[in-house]
Amino acid sequence: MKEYLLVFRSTTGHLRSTPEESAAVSEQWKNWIGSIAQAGKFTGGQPLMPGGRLMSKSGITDAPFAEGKEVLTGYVMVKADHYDEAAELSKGCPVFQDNGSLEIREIATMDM
Amino acid sequence: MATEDRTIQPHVLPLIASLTRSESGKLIAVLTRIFGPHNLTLAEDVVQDVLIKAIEQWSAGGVPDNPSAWLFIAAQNKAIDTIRKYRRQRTFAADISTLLESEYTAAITLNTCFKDEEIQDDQLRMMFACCHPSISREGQTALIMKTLCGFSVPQIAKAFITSTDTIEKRLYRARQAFRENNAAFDMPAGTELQNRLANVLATIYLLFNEAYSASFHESLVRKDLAEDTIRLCTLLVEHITTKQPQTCALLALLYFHTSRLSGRIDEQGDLLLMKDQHRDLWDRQMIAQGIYYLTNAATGDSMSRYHLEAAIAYEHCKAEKYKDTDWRTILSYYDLLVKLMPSQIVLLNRAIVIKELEGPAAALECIRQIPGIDFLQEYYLLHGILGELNMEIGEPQNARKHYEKALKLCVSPAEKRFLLKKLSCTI
Repeated sequence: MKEYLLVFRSTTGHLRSTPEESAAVSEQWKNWIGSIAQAGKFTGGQPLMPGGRLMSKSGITDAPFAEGKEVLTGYVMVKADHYDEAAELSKGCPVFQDNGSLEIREIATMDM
Repeated sequence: MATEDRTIQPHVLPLIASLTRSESGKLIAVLTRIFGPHNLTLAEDVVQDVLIKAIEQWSAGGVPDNPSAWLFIAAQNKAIDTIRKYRRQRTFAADISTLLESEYTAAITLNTCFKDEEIQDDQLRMMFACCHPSISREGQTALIMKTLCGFSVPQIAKAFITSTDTIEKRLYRARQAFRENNAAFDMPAGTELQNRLANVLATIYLLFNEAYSASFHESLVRKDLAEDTIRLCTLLVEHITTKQPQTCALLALLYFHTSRLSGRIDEQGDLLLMKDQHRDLWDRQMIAQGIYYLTNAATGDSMSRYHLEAAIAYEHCKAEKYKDTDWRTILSYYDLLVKLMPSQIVLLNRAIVIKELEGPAAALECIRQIPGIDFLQEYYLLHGILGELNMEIGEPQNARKHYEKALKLCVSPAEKRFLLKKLSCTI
């Protein structure tokens, strides 16, 4: 079995203004991740705070990045046999409710 | 960092003491469910920290309106801090560990665990885990008193009339077995449930006997512990899988015995025999509860020792005066009990009923015929009874010998005083 990284990007992010909204969003994440965990395929993941720093050889700049652009909001790691299965697991992800996107990447095993 | 004494408000301490007894068992149970049985000590530490924090904050800022709710919120906050602190080093309860490690799901998973009905079930799971067959009986009782009943080590030591060192050692071994053998913090099912439930009931019964027996230290712990066994047994009766006839029978038995607890001691704190007790001191409400559960126990076709012992206890509670006691019926229950478990103790108790029906000589003969009665040579009650019976048949010499032996074997001050009084009558 392989491990896949699911990376979430959206314009609004996971943080909501009212407690009710954020409770509802928490519930959605819990249901989605809970179902993956139930199948024994959830290995971890964390949401990210908005903002950040972008660093390169030429220096460091503050986020937010360009207005209206998708930003990284979090990641989850799952166990799956192939991309199709990882995609199947990704179907209920709440990021789609924000019209966000989800990138699936297989985690590499590095040779010694 | 040591807390400065002057910052602690003295009125906070009794409140914390009483909350420790009523709430810490629930908190330890839910935290053990969350952290996993392998982290029992971590769960206990978190509860300890929460109680210390309560003492500090309530001393400084006053006691909150709902102290118990405050403790649960504080415990939940401390739990999430603890999970964040250890999530790279430790795993938590197997079924939710990955959910607790992710911020996406940690808070909401904890919220679910802290729901009332979950906490209720966690206490049951804790009971089963503490009564795991790999833990010695004395370890089981000490662990239940410590974790589910919130007694301190000195309180437990005092209760069992032993040193805190002994209790610490018992708890150490018990915790070790608890961690190693409760991989899943779950209620057993099927035949496993039957075996394990029998074990849990036996431990509750033993715990109660310790509280009830006169060799138990005469302290407040006694009444508290008796009430705790009722609380624990009530949890079992309220759960669909553990509400079984023998569970109801045990609860009935606990109610009947506890109803008589306050009538057993006179104004000087000395023990009273059942025939001398003031029956108007017996708790009628508890007797009514006992009758209720005894009626509930009368389903199915299994007759447990608890059924018979509850029926016997009920006969005593029913009699308005000692002379009204229906010894014939009691004897018939004892005869059934002997068939179920022909132990020397049961036979000895049966002999006391024989004394009421046929006199002391017949009772002495009965005792003489108990197979393996020599096993009870170190049991002080045997000598207490033999002393009494010998007095009654006019053998004060023999009586004296037995009372002296009983005095040597018994440890409780109240009982010693009782025996000394008896001894002085033999001269």
